Amino acid sequence: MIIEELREIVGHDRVSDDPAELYCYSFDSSYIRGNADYVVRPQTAEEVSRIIKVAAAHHVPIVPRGSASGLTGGSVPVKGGIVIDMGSMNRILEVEVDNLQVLIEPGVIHRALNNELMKRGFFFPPDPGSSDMCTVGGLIANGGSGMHSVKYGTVKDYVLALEVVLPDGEIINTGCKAPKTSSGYDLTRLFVGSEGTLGIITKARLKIHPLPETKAILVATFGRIEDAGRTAVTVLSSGVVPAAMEIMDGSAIDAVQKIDPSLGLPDVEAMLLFEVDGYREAVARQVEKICEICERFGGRAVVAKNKNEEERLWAARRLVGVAITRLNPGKVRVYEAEDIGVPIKQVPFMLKKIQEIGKRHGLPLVTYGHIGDGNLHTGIAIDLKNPDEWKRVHAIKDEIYEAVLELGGTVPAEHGIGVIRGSLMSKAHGGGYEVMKAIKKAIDPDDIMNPGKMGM
Amino acid sequence: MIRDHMDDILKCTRCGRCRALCPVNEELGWESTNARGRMLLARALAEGVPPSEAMRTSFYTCLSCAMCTATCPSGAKPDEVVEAARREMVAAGMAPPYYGMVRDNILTTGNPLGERGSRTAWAPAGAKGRSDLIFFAGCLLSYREQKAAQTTFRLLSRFGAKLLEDEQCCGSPLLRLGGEPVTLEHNLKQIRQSGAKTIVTSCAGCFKTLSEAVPDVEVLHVTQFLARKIDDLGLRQLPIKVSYHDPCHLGRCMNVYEEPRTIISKICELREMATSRQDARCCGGGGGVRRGYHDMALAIAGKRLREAPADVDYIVTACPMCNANLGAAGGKVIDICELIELALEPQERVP
Repeated sequence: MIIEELREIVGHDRVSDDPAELYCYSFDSSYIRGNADYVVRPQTAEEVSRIIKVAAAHHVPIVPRGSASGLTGGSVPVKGGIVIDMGSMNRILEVEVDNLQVLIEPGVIHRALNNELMKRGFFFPPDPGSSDMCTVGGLIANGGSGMHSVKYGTVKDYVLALEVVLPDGEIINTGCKAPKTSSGYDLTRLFVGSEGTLGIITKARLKIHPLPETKAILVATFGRIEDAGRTAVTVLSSGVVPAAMEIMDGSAIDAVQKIDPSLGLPDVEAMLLFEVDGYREAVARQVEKICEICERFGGRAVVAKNKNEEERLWAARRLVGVAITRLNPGKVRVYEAEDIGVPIKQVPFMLKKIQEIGKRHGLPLVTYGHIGDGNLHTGIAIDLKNPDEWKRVHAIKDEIYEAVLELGGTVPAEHGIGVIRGSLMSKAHGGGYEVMKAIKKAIDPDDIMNPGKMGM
Repeated sequence: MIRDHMDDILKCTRCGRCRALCPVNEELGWESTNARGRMLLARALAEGVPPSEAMRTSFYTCLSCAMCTATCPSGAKPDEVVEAARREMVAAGMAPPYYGMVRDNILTTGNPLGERGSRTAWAPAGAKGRSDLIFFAGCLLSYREQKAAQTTFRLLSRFGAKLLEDEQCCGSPLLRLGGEPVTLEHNLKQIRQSGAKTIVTSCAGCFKTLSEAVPDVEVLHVTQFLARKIDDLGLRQLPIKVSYHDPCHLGRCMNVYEEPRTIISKICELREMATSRQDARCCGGGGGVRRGYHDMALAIAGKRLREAPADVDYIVTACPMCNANLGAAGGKVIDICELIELALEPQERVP
């Protein structure tokens, strides 16, 4: 009996096959649903290894899961099997500020890690909007990033080393503690973004960064969304490297206002939110330059008055994706075509295109995202019980993806493939996808690791 | 019916924010025992999945602290959905055994504790009667915190407060557990007969429940009433430092944050806990958890106590449930009215 073998490993109170419990593990934040057979909550890499050996012996799928805040079905057990809830492995094991690195277990919540680092004057820069809820392990496995990647890069730039349990239960270590290496194939980056299809990350050594001396937040408003797009492109080519550069269209601004009405944001077609950080003199200079460029394109830039306003602006921006549900009573935000990346110069074109597509299908699209690295998010809220609206959502998705790939862009830019984008892999990567499949076959010949994901 | 809450349930996009903030999730760790999981199981119930043992654990481990509702980006209200789900469990005969005990106690004795003695044994002669101002003492103060009851009543008596002729449980314990407030009608009748224009409660649970249930009468928490009278109280400054624990049903649920702080700041130095106001962590005792999951209630209380600055003399509370649970976990806790009494001239205090 699999349940008995799992109990043997982690104890009675860390395994469940109760239908109600399994129901709770059948979702993530996407519309994909699955049916787990067992849920198990290990506390050590050795336990993970033994669980995987049980799964391998019985040819049962293994589905690793952090907070299940993902938007693609990546942690949903679509082919059943054993869900491994990594939430109990949530310790910060070492903080080495002199070596600019930290060693963590994968279940640590992103915000908790940064709260701890900030006490010591440091931070872990990749900062997804889901910072409050996502695990760092999930962030790594999805190759995620966030609002500060325009300056600081994405999670793959921060992973020095990993401990990974392979599909046969073997525990391996990739990378090293040194800041750089040229030794062999880059297995660390192979596991970053592999979405649990190759193994389970049980420890991660991450680079950290000292907090900047100061920062400034600017809010710039525009009467036309394409002017905001042109401003963003010009700021980047002017030599300014903003720590963050976010765009929100009119309805995203509405959603932000719903989260925090006291922000008093104006009723305009588009808004850019800039953050610049570093030494005081440099920050002042960059603020000046950004204001000048905004004005050139008909925008109006205002610097946030104080720390409190800065924090509230960011807090509202982080949650705008979910808050779209608040815009229309009876409608709920669904995640489809929600994450695309295009070359920076094509951002203004893409913004306009998204609006056109939404209008044509009669569903307004809320657009926001990390314009500084060409990464846009679209939000659609529908009546979940209306099949026609679902049909239109899928049609919109097809058209947006088509446009993105034509521009030489990417689907997704930071949210992962999971289930919902699996069918795009071949088109997006061509022969490269065959290589990916060969790698998968070599590492996981029995296809037990998170099957049904990434189109595999 | 849980189906009536379907629109609210579907508002949940399962983003997981409430999961990360749910104090019970930190203790138990299962998806079913955090706010997001409870929303999912409420959905299952609404979709016709029969109530089960795991559902019972899920719904009845909720502290009803409303942290989830206060922070939900989608605007969903998991605390209300959980109460509706508990009503469904009660209707299906799947409520935990202590639900029946609480209900029987209230039906037979008028209080959830099953106390058969006089509810007003602590009160001075002539305390009951008609007045514009009525002190609704609540069950915990009446039977478990009688010193606090005396202190609070003595303060309120200065302004003409009386007690109801026959006060009974406010209804909060049954409502929170998924039942009907069987004593509400009795209390409403008493309130009408008393001529009350203002009812003052000391318990955050009574305050929330009566505020929602009593029509045409002003319901105030004692901190609101006394903050209005602050200059009439004759308070002395005390050379102590305290911290203040925001009760969930007073703070997040009813938005009373300033008045307790106004009172405390008049008396002594107030140092905030690591989380406060709308972000304040629960004491761990709410939603029936202190009764049903005592060890977990104490573990959560322990975490809350560690949020207090190390050098404070007391943690002040404004709810007897918080007081009891934080005290049981080893906290040096004091009810806000007892703090006020320390700041009175000696001759003004309860003998």
